[in-house]
Amino acid sequence: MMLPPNPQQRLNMNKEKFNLKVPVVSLGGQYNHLISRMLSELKVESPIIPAITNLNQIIEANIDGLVFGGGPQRVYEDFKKGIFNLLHEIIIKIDVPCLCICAAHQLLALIYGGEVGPAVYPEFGPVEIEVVDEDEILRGLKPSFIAWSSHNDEVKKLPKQFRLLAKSKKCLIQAVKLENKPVFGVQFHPEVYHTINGRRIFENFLSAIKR
Amino acid sequence: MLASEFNAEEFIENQIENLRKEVKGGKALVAVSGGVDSTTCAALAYKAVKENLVCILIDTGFMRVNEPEWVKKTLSKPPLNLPVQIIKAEENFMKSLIGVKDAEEKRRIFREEFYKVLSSTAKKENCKFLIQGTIAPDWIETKGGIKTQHNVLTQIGIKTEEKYGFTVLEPLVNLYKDQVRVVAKALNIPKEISERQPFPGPGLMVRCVGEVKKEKLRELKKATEIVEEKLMDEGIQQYFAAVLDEEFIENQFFPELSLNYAAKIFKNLATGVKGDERAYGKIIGIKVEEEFRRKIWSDFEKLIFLQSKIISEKKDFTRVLYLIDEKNEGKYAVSIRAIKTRDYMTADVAQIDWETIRDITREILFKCSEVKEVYYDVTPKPPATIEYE
Repeated sequence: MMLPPNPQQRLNMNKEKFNLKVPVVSLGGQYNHLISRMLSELKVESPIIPAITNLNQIIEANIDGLVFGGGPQRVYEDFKKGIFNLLHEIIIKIDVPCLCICAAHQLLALIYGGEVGPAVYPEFGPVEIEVVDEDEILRGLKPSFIAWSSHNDEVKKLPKQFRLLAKSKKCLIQAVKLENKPVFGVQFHPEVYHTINGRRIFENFLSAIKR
Repeated sequence: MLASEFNAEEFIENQIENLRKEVKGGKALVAVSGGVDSTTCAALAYKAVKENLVCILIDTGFMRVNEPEWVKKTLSKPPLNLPVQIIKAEENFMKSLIGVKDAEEKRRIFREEFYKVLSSTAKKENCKFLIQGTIAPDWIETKGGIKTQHNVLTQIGIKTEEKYGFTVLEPLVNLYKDQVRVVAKALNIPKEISERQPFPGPGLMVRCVGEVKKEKLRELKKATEIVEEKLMDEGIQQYFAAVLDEEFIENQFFPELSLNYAAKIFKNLATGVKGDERAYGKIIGIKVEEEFRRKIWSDFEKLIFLQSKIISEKKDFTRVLYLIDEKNEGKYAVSIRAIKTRDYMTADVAQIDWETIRDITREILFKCSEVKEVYYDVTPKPPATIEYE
C-alpha cells in the first residue's frame, strides 16, 4: 500500500475521498509539493516520492498514473552519467499515463533519443504558450494561454516517436506526447497558481487516465 | 479559492490531538512574531497544552515601528489570550551582523542568534518542546537551497535535541499560506492577524540589502511605514520597501530598448530562483528621463516584458527595478515591491496607478533624508524571490 511519506501529510488525507492514486515522483524541484496539492484538490491521492527510491515498488502498487515533477539538475549531464538509468527503465516499461514536467520533460526526451541543452533564452515567469495540437492534455486551450516557466535548459530536438503539442516564442518544444501511449511532457509548470488553466491540464490528464 | 477542498476543522482536531500526544503533559515553548503562521501555531499549541505553554516574542530589532508592543497587545487579549512575553535581543543580532554582506551568511547568523534565545528560554522554563509555525514553502526553499529560512532545522539535518535541548513540533508544515489563513479563521484569530500580509522571519534584515547599518535600517523603517500605509487597501498580497546602498558597479545599455534611459547595476546583490536553483545575482536599475516615466509605466505589460528580456539575456541578473523619482542627495536607494499571489511559490508584480506610486515615492524622498532614489521592482517570482535576500 502507498502511504504519504510524512505522517502529518497522512493525517491530512481522508482515504475515502480519493478516487484515483497518482503519485508524484520528485526530482527535487520547488513546485513538486504544489503538484500534490493540485491533485489532492482534484480528489486524487498523490504522495510525493523522491526519484531515488525504488520505483519498481510503486509501479507494482496498483497506481492509476504518475506525475514526474521538476528538479534543479542539468538533466543532460546526469543522464550521461547514468544517474537516471533506473528511471529510464521505468518510463520505458510503464503502462499507466504519465505527465512529465520541466526537468522530467527534458528527461523524457533524452530517454527516447532526443537532445537537451542550455536554452539560448531561458524563460522565467509568464510565457505565452501557443497550442499546436490539443491532444489531449491541452484540450480546450487553443489558440494560446499564459503559463509560468522556470528553466535554464530546454529540449533541442524531439525524438521521432513524439508529437509536438505546444511551443512558445523562445522555446520551440513546450509540450509533447508520445505516439500511441498516454505519456506527456510539458516544459512549463501547470501546477503553479499563476498558470491560467493549469488545473484544466491536470483535469485533462486525469481524463486520459479514466479513459 | 480551492482551499475550500481543505477541511480546517478536521485539521485542527488532528493537530491538537497530535501535539497533546507528543508533549504528554510537559511544557512547550512557542515563539510568535504576530504573523499568521506563528500565531496560528501558537493558538493550536495553546489549545493543546493550555497553561503548559510558554509564549515569547523575540524583539530582534528587525521588526517594524512599534510592532512588538502591538503584537503583544493583540495576542494577549481575547479571543487568543496568549501569555506573550517580549524578550529583547536587538543588540545580540546587530553585533553578530557587523560587516556581513552576503545574504545567506546573514540568514544563518540570524538563525543562530534566534535559536540561542529560544534555547536559553527553553532551558530556563524547562520546556522540552518547541512548537513552531514552519510552513511548506519554508522547508521547500531551504531544502532546495534557494534560501535558508530561519525556522527550518530538522529538515536539513540539524539535531535540535543535541544542539538546543528541545524537540521541534511543526503542526503547519505541509500547508501553504492560503490554507493557514483558512485554519486561522476557523480558530477565530482576529482578522488583523489572519489576513495580515506576510513578514519574513528575519524581518527587515532581509530588506536591508547587503550590510546592515543602523542608519540604513532607520531609513528602511520609515519607508516601510509609508509603503504599508499607502498600499494597504489595494488588494495586494504583499507590499513593502527594501533599502539598497546607492552604489553602482557599472552602466549598461540595451540598444534594442530604443528608450532614452540609463541602466545602472547596483553593488548589492539579490536572491532569485531560476529553474529550481538559487540565483544570487545583480540588480539593475532602469532610469528613464522624467518626461517619459509615466508613459512607460502606464504600458505595464511592456515594462514586465522588458524585465523578462533583460533577465533572459543577462544570466547573472535577478532583479529589474524601475526608477520612479530621485533627489540630489543621499546614500541609499529604496525599492518598493508589491506582488500578487496565492501560495507565495510564484508571484506576479502588482500594477499600481502612477499617482499612487508617485505619491508614495515623494513621501519617502521627503521623509527619508538619506534616500536618494526610489524604484519599483518589476520582477516576478521566478526569476526573483519575493524578498531581496
